[in-house]
Amino acid sequence: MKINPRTSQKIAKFIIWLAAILVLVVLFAIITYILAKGIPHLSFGFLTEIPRNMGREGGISSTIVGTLLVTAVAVIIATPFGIGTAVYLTEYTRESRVTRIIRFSAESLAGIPSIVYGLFGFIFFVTYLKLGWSILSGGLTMAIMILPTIIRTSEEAIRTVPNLNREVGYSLGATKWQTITSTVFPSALPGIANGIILSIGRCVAETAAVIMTAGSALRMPTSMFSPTRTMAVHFYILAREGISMENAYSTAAILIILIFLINVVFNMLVNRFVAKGR
Amino acid sequence: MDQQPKIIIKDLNFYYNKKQAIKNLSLDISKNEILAIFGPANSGITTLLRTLNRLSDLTYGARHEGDVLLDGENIYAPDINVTELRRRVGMVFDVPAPLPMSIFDNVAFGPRMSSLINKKSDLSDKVEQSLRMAALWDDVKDRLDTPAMRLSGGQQQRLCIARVLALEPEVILLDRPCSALDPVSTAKIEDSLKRLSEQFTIVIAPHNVQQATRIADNVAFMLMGDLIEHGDAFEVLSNPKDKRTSDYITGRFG
Repeated sequence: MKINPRTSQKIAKFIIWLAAILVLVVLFAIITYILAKGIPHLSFGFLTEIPRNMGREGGISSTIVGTLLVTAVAVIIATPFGIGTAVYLTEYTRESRVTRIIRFSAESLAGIPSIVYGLFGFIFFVTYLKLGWSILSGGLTMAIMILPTIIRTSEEAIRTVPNLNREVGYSLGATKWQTITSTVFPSALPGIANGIILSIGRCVAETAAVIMTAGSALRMPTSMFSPTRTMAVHFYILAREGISMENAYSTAAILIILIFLINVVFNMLVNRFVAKGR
Repeated sequence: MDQQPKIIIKDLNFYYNKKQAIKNLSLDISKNEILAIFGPANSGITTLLRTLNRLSDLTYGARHEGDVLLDGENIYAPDINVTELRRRVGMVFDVPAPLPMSIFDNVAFGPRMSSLINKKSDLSDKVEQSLRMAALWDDVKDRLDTPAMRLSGGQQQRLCIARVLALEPEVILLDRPCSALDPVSTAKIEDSLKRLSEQFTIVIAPHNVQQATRIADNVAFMLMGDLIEHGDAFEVLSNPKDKRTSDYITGRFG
């Protein structure tokens, strides 16, 4: 059967529109539902008080701090290693057996379920290195988990920088390192930042691996060695154990708002930097 | 002239893996001349230019035999400082290639990388001087902080020339610098080049024979990696000795 080109054009357009609208509808449905359920119970105290009575009362301040610290540790540790690996793969070596092994390893790491990272973190950081359930153990485990994402996105971003940029750098008497930092990075930055934002999202949303490595303590953390409970874990425990659905939704609402804020702020920073050159 | 040539190319062979791009080429380039190397695409002209500042090193599988002497010094000697060489032998590419930064930072790039100039006021002076020499200063003097990407194609290419001039080079290589530009921009760049040849040695791959006629002191015709003919621009272009040269000039092939 032959379809008239104009008809096939219309059908294609319809399907593409449908797909796009469906995605938006699902996204907005979830966000609206959680915000509608969560926001009515919100108060200023919910943000500033630590949880009381297992989270039935009080706020979630300690879990916000815990989330931010675990994520910060993970991103601060994983970013230099991830970008470093990407720079090695793209700038300092040619396609070879070694690069294929590195890339294959990174891809395999990306496919491992987070609970396995949790188990590894528990055995290695918590028990073997005796870091205990702590922000540090949780952050280190998350760092390993997000490393493949940062490597892949950075590698992709660096690879798309035109070779001409590098040649211009070299032709103007720059060394290899100067060429990479001053002609390749500025162009690759938005892509690299995108990978970091994705990684932040994964850290903030992670539950299984964090419970096993950072614990689920409700106290306000006092150091990197304090155990803590992240917001996602708090939400999970509140809902799973039927402690307080109201507070669970409120936590989820704050979590969504937090992720949104992190994205906006990060994008603003990147755009401000990139805007200088465009 | 009893002066020794600025650049001496001796028995140069150049290969990309097994493919030979330059065949046993010898050529002298004297100081302050404009040499135009012309010929059809794939004749090895770009490769030849890139061997003069060793940008050809960057291509994987590239290999050379023979010597290139700059002021009598072999630039392929093991102890040569390649970044210093590239500062002395600047290059302008066939497409305008501003870096994603401001106009000022583009011109200041080279001096900053090689720490040529450290004082801020000296750097501003250098940028202004370079932009003036490239005939771009009046276009951009009020907006040095704006991104270089916002300039027109012709302005971008003059910016790239200014960027090379800021390195205080001795030789400037230009690889079909006007191929992406309109005739007005091309004329501006040709004017600048003529003035610049008083101070610099210029090697250019023109984007056509007419351009070679307009600006070159000497020309060289290359075909399939061979240097066919080399000599005074007027003589070679008006009365070529080799049939292949005259065929190309009169447009019978290429």
